[in-house]
Amino acid sequence: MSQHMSESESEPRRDADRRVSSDQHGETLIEVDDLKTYYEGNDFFGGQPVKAVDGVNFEIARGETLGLVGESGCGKTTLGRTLIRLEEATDGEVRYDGTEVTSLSGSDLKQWRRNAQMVFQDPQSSLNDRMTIGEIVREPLDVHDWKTPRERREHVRDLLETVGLQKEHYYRYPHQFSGGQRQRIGIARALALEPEFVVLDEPVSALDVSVQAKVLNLLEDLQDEFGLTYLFIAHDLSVVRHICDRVAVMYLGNILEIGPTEELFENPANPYTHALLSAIPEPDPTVDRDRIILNGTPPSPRDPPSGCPFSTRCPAKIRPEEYADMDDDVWEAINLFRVLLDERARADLSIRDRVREFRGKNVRFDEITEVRSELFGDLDLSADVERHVDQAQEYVEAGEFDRAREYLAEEFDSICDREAPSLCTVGDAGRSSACHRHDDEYASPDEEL
Amino acid sequence: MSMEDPIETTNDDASTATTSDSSSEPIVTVRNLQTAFFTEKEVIRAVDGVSFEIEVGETVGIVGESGSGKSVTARSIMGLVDDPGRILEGSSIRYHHPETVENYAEEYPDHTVDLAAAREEFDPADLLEDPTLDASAAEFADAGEPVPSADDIDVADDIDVADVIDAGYGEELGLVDEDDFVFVDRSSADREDNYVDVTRTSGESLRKLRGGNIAMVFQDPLTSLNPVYTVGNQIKEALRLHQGITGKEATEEAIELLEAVGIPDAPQRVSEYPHQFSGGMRQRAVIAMALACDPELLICDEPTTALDVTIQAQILELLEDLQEERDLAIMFITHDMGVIAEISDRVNVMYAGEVIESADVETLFAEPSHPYTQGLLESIPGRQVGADRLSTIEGDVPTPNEPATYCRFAPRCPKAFEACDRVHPESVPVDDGAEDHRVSCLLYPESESEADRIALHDRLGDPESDPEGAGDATEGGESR
Repeated sequence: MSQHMSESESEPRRDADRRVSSDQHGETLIEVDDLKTYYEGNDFFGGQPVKAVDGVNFEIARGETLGLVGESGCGKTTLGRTLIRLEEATDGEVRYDGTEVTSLSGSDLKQWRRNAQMVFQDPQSSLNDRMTIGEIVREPLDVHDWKTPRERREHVRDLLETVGLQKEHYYRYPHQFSGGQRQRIGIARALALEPEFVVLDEPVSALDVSVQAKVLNLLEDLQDEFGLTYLFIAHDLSVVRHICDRVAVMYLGNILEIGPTEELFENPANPYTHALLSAIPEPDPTVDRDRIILNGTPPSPRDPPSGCPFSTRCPAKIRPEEYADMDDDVWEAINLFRVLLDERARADLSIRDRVREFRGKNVRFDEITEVRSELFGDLDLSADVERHVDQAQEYVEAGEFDRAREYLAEEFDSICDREAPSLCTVGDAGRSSACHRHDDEYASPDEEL
Repeated sequence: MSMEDPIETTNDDASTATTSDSSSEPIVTVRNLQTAFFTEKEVIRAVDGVSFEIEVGETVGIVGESGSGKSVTARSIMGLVDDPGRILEGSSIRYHHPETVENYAEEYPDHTVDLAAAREEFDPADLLEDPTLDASAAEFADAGEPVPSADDIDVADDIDVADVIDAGYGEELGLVDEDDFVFVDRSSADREDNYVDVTRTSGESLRKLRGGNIAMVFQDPLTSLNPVYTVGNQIKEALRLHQGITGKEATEEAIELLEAVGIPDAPQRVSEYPHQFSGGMRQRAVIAMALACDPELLICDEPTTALDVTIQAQILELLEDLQEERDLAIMFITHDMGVIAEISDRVNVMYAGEVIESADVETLFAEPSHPYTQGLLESIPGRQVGADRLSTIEGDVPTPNEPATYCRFAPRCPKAFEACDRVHPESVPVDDGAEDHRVSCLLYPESESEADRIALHDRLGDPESDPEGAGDATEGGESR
């Protein structure tokens, strides 16, 4: 192994009989076309489905590492699981080497599964404590009836060495290993069937930095050695920057920006990417950055906003023309007011409150005057805005929530609330980003932020 | 601290008017903290001789990998160490808030020790000559005092009665009773001379301190909230227990607290259950609970580890705002070097139960001195530009299950040399004149020759410097 290392350092390309090296991408391995994964509401009356993945398109080239980042609940794990058929896609296509895989079944599916494996996040819960390491790593081989039992055992021992463990570990149990070593076992298991594509679902999030560095190095070595293609799901952006060739930024089931790692990190195009990058704490106390702090949390994927998914939190949201010069604080207060109304309208009521509501009591928002004075109290509203807010308040007081919301929507909605942006090309390295601000009509996100 | 100092107002001796001129205003001083877990198999010294100080309004970061003893340090300060864990004798955690100390002194006169009287009565220098007591100067030297020069380690002059009591000789010498925990010196307005020793409190006196003065925010907000009570209810519980506020007044206070931590629509939220809150909101609610009783010290144990970066940014900003508003001292525990750089003023790096490096945050990141700190920083992706492979630290964090008579990092250290296996490194300044940047490593102080350095560490660990007795100092207070 060490000999190989020194060889590879002296010459850029490895020995000729090695399989595809990682810098040799180009050929597309996986194509994802308008993929949707919904979890049906298990409500008695059906209810709204959870739109975990809501129409994504991208490609992964052979031998490349695509990073998938986003906040928790944005659907990145579901997307990864759908790609390797651990979840059923609701709609759309996944083509693997030209084969459509979302419709595979029976022995075809089993055969295909060899190609695509997964490494899970939590090394504590992804290994069966009652099985020895050998049994765990050998299980996929047994399932697929790979060669003879003797060859399987031999293969497993080799694999253990490949991932930096020892042959003797074959008969040990998971509890005898540290977190980093357990993750190595998970990796060995994923590699047992010699797959081409591996989904790494937060493989290092549960590990300490020094251990994390070792596992990342191992993953890179394995990719070089076996020509693996990775989908690397993570929320730690510095890790993603280190290991990925390209990155996709996900938000509420949609990909908002995708492109080559360095370019995306150096010069993010989408406002969400901007905000996400600015939120990473830099391990350097002298850096003083303008941080964009996003308000609130992502909306529920059961009831996503009608326009751009990011519109409820976007710091660069396009305003209607007549309010273009409005004071930022006022604009923020209005948006907050609307979010509040939405939340209140959606809130589950207790039975007692439902009865009161039925009797005509305004239980959802009985202290509207207070809320209003808190939001707008010390702001200078123009006569127009004042009138609109008054009107909305009147509707609320009369218990007509939807009317108040519609009224405000009509007045303050912009293209961001009405239309979902589609991915458009930015930069010149094949990067694309979904934001209305890439339209020439509006100021670009960079200027706005 | 600018208003009236209750200690001073009760002070008849008007000559001491040096209240707030002293630049250091410690809120808590941890000295030689040793917390060990006594299992059937072995004694695990989870925290092994940790000393540091937190001042009013500052954020002290504690950073280290899992198993380094960060959380146990925090739990020791909170008095939350459970069986089979025990804080060993010789440890002290002095809580310095003047008003609190005064209240304690009034409430527990029987448990109060007058340090001024004790000082008059007893000269610590005698202690070292007393052959019946097996005391050594080094026991009292390691807690933040300047390091004695290599040829002269006559530290007896610097020893204070309080240190003698901390080291566990107080009872033997008849200076204190077993159950004393308030220490006051009414002749001195110095914060450092008036304190409550958290390690000595128990029962009611501890409960009042915990929650009322020292509050803690844990890693996982969902497990620190009770799912069957509304968020408001849980905040009100703290208000009722510590401040006796109930009913409508408590509800209003709870709403105000939720607003203070940036929860929108607080009047509605106060009657909701934890499951109706998102992760970030839950952590805000937990912080609101911690702030309910207006603590002076907030201990945050990985408060953002379970959260997304965008939410983490919100929480960090909230903590900074609250700190400014309330002059809070914050002890912030994390394994994330980025977060540490962001929020701390000073940083203590822990490894296997010991603080191995301590410096203000800029210095630490600009000139990491301990090989472990260097390795830790180098293994963060993205710090070295253009590096293809991440550098790593070989091996794993050891379990500190025997007294440290050697450097615990030596087996993994790229710079280890022969002496590292037999001499325990003590905390020394990195270099002359760099008193604030201290490191426990035989490579320092940098200006001395190797032989002098080893001799210095050796003597600090044990002044008689006979190799056989090297373990004495750390073993001093093991049995009670």
